[in-house]
Amino acid sequence: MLRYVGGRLLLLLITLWLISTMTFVLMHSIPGDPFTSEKKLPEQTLKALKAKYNLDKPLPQQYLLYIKNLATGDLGISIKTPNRTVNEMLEDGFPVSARLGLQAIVIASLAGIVMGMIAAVRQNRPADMILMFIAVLGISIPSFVLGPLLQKYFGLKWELFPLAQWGDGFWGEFKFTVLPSIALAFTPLALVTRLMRSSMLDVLGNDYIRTAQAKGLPPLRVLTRHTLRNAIIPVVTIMGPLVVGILTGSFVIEKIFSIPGIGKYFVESISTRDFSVIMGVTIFYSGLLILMNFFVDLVYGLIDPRIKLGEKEAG
Amino acid sequence: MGIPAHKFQRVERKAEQYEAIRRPSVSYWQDVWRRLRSNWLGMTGLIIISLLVLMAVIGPWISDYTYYEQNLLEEKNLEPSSEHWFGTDDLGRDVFTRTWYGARISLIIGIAAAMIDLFIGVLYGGIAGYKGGRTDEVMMRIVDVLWGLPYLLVVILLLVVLEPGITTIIIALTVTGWLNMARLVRGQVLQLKNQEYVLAARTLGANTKWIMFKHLIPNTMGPILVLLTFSIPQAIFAEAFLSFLGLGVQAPIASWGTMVDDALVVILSDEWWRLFFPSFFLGLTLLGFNALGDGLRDVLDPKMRK
Repeated sequence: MLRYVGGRLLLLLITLWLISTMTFVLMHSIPGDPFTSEKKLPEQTLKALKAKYNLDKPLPQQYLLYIKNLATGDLGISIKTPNRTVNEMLEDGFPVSARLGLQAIVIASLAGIVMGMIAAVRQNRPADMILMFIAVLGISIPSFVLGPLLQKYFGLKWELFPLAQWGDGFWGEFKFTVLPSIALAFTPLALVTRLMRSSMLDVLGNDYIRTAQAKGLPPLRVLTRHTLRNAIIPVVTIMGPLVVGILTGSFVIEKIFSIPGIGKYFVESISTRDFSVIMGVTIFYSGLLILMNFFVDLVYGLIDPRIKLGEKEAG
Repeated sequence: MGIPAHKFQRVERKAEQYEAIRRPSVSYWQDVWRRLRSNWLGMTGLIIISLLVLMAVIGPWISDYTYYEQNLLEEKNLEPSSEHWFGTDDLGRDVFTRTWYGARISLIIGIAAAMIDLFIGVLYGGIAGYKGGRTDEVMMRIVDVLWGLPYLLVVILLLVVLEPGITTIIIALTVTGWLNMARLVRGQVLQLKNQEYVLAARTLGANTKWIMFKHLIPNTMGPILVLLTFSIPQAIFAEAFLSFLGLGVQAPIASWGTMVDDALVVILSDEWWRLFFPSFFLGLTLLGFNALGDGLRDVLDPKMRK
């Protein structure tokens, strides 16, 4: 176990180093420097600017500085808004994005598990068909289509939720996050529902379920104690990809709903080609995702006694 | 009474007749087709995809307009009519033509990216699984490291740097896209290479290449085909997502993602057709490929065969 965790941590560090190096190489492979596109700057200013971003030093030295800064958690200064550091942007945006993401994950996993259970228990009956239809919609409708639709109907036409603002305090913000959270959660919700349904059907076909029913356990108890516990394990495996999907999905959702999160900064930095912000956010998100996947794997090993961490999987 | 012996006719036993195969032999693809035909989900998907492909080919061609032709003065934001079947956008461009032109771009990108993934993945996974030992160890460690990279973030990063265009998107999508296929093929080959028929083939003097391409790969065809079908909608979605962020194909080329992005203004106005048509057909494409993938998995997965 300890050996396995150590191995995974090492792998995690290598992956992080790889993505940082990749961003560095990619960003420095662009001809010219970030200031070439600006209006003609005086020679003196240009020199000062380059010195500020360490662009006047030879490339290997820049790389070493960059890795050293990363190791201490310093992600650099924005090029287009020079009085802002990338760390400040992340500090501002992250609570907002994290909240949106967490809400979406909670909706997707809880509602997905419940919907999948109902569909499995009521297999081939109207309830199952309705739920599966919703799941199909969830897989076919991208969040960047659902977002505008929710905004138009629930926000503007029927005025159920306020739009394009951001409130104060937990509950003040809550009503603004409802629509974006739903838009963000819809596809993952469909995936969880489908997976939960098929895994429930698998488990329900087992002999020990029949035994539990035969010895007279109440149906609800069979469902919670015997079925749910076993059926939920495959769902945990997709939590990693799910989190990735929700985080990347938040780029477009934050753009559509103009939410001041990291995604919005990221999308803006892409269109203004603010390379230090692009680099910083990419590395931050990659690190976050890699860590998440690591924890999901650990949790998976803990809840399923059949899985022994560190053993090679067969096939 | 009794039948005289000369009335009997001797039936000659012909060895070749006994050995003859009576039913027509069925190739792998005919078998897949026969199984798929009885699966309504897979067939629905296949029909949807066929219709979409057909429209992508003939759609822009049967229309009187081009995807880039603007008419700012007279034909701005027109509702769907007999002139413009899907209406026009804010630059007076015909939405019908643009939608089907976008279908071409999406399908080309999706299929090309999936094919490149297939090629690299089968080669890489096949070699790793077949060689085994140290080679496998090193090759799969590399995959493990790359596996940790978030797919869309890497693609975004590449597209920020590279020249925008269809080829660039395909390349960016395949940089980490082949990992799934490599893992699948490697696992399958690892399982299959110790089977008796592989041993038999080797005893008969078959070389590695023959065993690989005549025995191992065909036997993993089922899971490969299923994964391939699912990776096409993934690539199509990724392209639409990137175009929506402004990193995909560049104007005036139409893609479903850019059309949805352009149509965001309809939140405030009433030109529903500008958002509806590209999103509807994008959704239908994703649905079609996912249904086909589910159907194929049902009919090809040995565990599901009854």
